[in-house]
Amino acid sequence: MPKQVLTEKEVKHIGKLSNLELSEKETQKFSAELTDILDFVENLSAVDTGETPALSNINEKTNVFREDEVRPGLTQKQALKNAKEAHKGFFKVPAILKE
Amino acid sequence: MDSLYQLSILEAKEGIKKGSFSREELVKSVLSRIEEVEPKLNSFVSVNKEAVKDARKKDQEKEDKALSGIPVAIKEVLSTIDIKTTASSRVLENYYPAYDATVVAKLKENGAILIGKTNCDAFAFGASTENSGFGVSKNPYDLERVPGGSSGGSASAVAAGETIFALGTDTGGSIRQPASFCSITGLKPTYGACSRYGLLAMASSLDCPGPMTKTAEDAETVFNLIKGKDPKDATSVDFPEKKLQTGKIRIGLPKEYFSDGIDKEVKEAVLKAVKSFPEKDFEFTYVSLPNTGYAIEVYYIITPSEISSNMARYDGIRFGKERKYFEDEVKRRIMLGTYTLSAGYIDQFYLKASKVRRLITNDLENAFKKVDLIIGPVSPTPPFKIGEKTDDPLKMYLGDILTASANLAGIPGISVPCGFADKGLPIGMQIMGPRFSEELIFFVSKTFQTLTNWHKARPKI
Repeated sequence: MPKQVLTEKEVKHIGKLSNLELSEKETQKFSAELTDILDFVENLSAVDTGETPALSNINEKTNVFREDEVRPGLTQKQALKNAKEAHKGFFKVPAILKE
Repeated sequence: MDSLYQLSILEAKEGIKKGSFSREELVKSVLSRIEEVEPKLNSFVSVNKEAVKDARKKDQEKEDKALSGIPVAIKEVLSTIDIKTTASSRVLENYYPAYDATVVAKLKENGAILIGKTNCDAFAFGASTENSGFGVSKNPYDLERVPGGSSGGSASAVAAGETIFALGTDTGGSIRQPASFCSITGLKPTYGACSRYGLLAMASSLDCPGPMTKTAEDAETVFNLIKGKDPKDATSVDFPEKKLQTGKIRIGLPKEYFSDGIDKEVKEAVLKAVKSFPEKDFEFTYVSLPNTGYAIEVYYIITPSEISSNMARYDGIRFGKERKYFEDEVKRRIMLGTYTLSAGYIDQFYLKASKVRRLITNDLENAFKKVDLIIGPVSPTPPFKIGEKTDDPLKMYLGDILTASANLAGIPGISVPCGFADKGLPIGMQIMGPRFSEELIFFVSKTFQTLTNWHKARPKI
């Protein structure tokens, strides 16, 4: 089977989807490395999985419910403790909309 | 009395109880050992300066708790309230959690003293601690070699006497492989047996916190204190109480775990170890786990997929630095997972891997119909040299071949020391069992440690 090449263009696209800024050098490096890894994991295509159902969690739980009761949580001060910037009890974030 | 730091939990408890030494003396012995060997080992990201004060207070109160005054080192991916928790990544270099991980809280409630936070691969992504943002930890048996990973700092700290015991986390072998590399005992519990609350998530369907100790008896003591259902982790479960079986213990040796790809000295050490069990109580047969050969492929699709989702929380706003500071392996896995989950590829990668995961689990379940436990090596090689695999991520991944299946199937596995390779490098034996078979695993490990002395070896450092 031919190598499933992950082009630099694709790496840039994945970087964008993952919110990662990549330098040109990183893009080249990851393109080669990720190609190798994907080529390797592609070995699975040789396994006959037939009607085998997927297993995503060993406990195979679906929903876990609890009573909707108010319980103690973090204080505002605790929640903001690690924030880079806070303003009047809010997280301060960079503007995303232009005026 | 100058080597209190070498004691096991049980020995330390007894010494305190008898009045042979105080909690303060024990903590001071460990701290001075850290001062002595830490420049060579780099096991810790931070050391707790309050530890002596804590010990003194417990001495004054004559605290009567299971782990009163016993020093514990905690892996950097486990949250500790108001104590820096970096995940060994530069992104979290100034992060101070507002709460304790449940397993940490349980140890504190039982009187343990937090001695420091141990180094690991950033966010636990790796098998050598070389991916840490705070430098590599060294193997106390050979300073040019890795201590394993990702819980490498916890393993080197326990082996070198920088703590009495430690907690690690295991997603694909991260407790067992470093335990094997540093000649200590390390348990990866049944999935869900120990709460993941406060564990900085890597792959949520695989992550397990667990004990890293000097003896199997200690691992059992710690496991029994940290296990149990936690309302804060919906995947945690009550641990069913079972009576130990009577009659011969049937042990399976998977032929795939003794194949050509496994180092000769490792295979020989494990097979020799197996022979030390008395025939009147143990019965050995070969078993086959045909799909475990695909464990790496499955693991390196499922894990990055879950990682790409879990790592989305690091936005650099509520806490932590921007994403550009992520270490290379972190970026690699986020991108890999983003790709394997993306439209057009999810069937080919994630869903296919989830199906093969079922086949691997079925293999193990079928084997456990015929045998009670499975024994094999932990790592295909003894500890490797620092830098040996850093240029080739795939080569590093292949080392997880004997450990990843237990995570995919959610079963427990322990690593116990079982010998040394030619160059004096540690080798570990892995004992795996069906889900919730920890008690039997401990029984067999403790039996092994009464028959052999490998666990008593200490590095010359």
